[in-house]
Amino acid sequence: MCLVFWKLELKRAYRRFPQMFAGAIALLFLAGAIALLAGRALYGDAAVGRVSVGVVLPKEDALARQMVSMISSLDSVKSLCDFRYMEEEEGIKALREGRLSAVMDMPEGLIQGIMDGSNPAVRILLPGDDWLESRIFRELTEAGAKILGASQAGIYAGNELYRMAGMEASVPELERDLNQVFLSYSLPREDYFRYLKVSATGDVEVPVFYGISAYVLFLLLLAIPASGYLLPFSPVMRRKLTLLGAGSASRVWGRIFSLGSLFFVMSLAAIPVVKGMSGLLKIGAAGAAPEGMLGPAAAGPVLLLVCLAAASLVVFIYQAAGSLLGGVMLLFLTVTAQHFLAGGFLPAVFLPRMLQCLVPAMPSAILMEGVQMILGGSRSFAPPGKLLLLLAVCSFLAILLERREA
Amino acid sequence: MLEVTGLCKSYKAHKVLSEVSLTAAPGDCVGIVGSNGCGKTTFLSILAGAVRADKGSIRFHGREAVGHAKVFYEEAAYVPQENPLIEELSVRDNLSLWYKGSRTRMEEDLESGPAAMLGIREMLKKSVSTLSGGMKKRLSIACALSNHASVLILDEPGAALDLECKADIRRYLEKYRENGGSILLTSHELPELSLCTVMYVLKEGRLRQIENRLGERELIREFQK
Repeated sequence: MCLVFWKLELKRAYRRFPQMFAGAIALLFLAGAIALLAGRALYGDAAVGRVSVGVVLPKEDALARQMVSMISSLDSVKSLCDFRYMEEEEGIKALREGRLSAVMDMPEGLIQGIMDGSNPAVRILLPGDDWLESRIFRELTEAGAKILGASQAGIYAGNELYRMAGMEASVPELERDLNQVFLSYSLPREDYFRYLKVSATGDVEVPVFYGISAYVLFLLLLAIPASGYLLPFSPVMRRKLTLLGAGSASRVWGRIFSLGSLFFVMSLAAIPVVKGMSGLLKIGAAGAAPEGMLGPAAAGPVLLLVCLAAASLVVFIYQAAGSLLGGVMLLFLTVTAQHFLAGGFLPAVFLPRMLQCLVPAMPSAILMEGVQMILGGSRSFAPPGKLLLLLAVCSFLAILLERREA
Repeated sequence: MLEVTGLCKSYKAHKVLSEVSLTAAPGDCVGIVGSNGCGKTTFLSILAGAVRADKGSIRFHGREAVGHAKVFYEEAAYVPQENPLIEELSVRDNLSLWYKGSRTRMEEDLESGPAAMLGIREMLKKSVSTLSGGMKKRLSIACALSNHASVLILDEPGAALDLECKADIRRYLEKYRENGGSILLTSHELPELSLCTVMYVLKEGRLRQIENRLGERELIREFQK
């Protein structure tokens, strides 16, 4: 008899598929609109994505032009800034009109000044408004000045030691050698950072991390359009189902299994969309599975486990709320709050230290770890173990509430 | 044949049933009346096996049911006041959920059993949410009688139904009784109570037999005694 009840529960759940699908689209639009509005509120119309910098060079100073060209080709600068050469008046005008984020006015004899230690100052003009782009450029120039200062101090220290030892004639040779040694150390270091990325989002790239986070958040909030299905049973239904042999545990398991399988089907349906978006955003090879991803035979069960664990959390929340409106409110508040605490909105490393210890216990963190396992191809038993634990705890609590109501 | 002896039930300090006993022979229709909240629904739920009694014995055709869920499952057909139906599913789905038998037997019942007599076949494909109150009640009775039980327990069967539906259900209950079934029902409506061959009033946890076919005033007087 339980099988008939479970089959009908599944049927009821699948009848919510169109509502869930429409809900997913609505959620997507809502999230997009929030991101767009937040972006406009933070950056206004000045959000251009790159920092435009005007460069004013002394007339016929080929060395200074060469140095600026070298700086502009550095990875850190190239990824953020566009340098434009111009006259001073033109630069100030563009700065006032908001077309530039900064103007760099190079003094005469800059290179000689650096070499002899007189260090003539480079004048940086920033707009009155504290734009994000201007702040980024100020940080970049301050960091550059510090690096330059440290390198100079190293060379000056060597010069001074040679002079104290009466080896002034060997100073040019020392500078040449220092340059070579400096390069031999600094180049492999840059190489290291180029290939070994250190990221706040852990083992995955930032877009992939936020993709996983958005998937988990969507999965949990997708239950809202199916709220009608998740309403607790009426006392009469409970009594009759108990007579039929479907006790509290069977009733709760029927719900978790049905909702979980619906989540699973929705997730499978979303794969082509995710692949298409990855192609558009140029994350990994378009249409191809990410490198190191689990094969379908291993990924399928893990994804099903993620969906069942998410469903158990949702069923528990609705069971605790006891009504339609209460369920929707409680689901939204609980899911968003615990998703924040799980580091789903801001990576965990940016959370206050006190909150960081809560991260592993948050359901979203466990679900995200499960999805990360599928994408990263890890063969560890820890993520499925945590998912099983989440499933067991939420089912147990939901059964307890169902038994109390019966 | 239903024999109830010394049934007791309390919710914490509140005594709902105290040493309640009754007998319903085949062809009997036992009516239980009483003011709201006197424990009628609890009593019927215990007789159907949905609620556990603290003490007492319930025997269906000599088989002890207390502590034996299978006996309740096989011998009692319980129709609660609210319809235990899943609104978004079809009539067939609901029937298959509550049906206590094979699929073949269900099809036979739809042809010539209680389901056929209640006119379920004509509405099989309809969604329960589109049915009228009377149709839902008929479906609830058909679902409950899927085990062909000889004891039918109904909690206010005519509540919130129109006159035509009430008459349809009364006609079916008369047929059921004529075929040797026992009926136990609670009701606040005189036409429904007119079906009863034995009447009891439930007051302060005790059952007291009263005269059959009493009028409204006499019944109220019995409640106040």
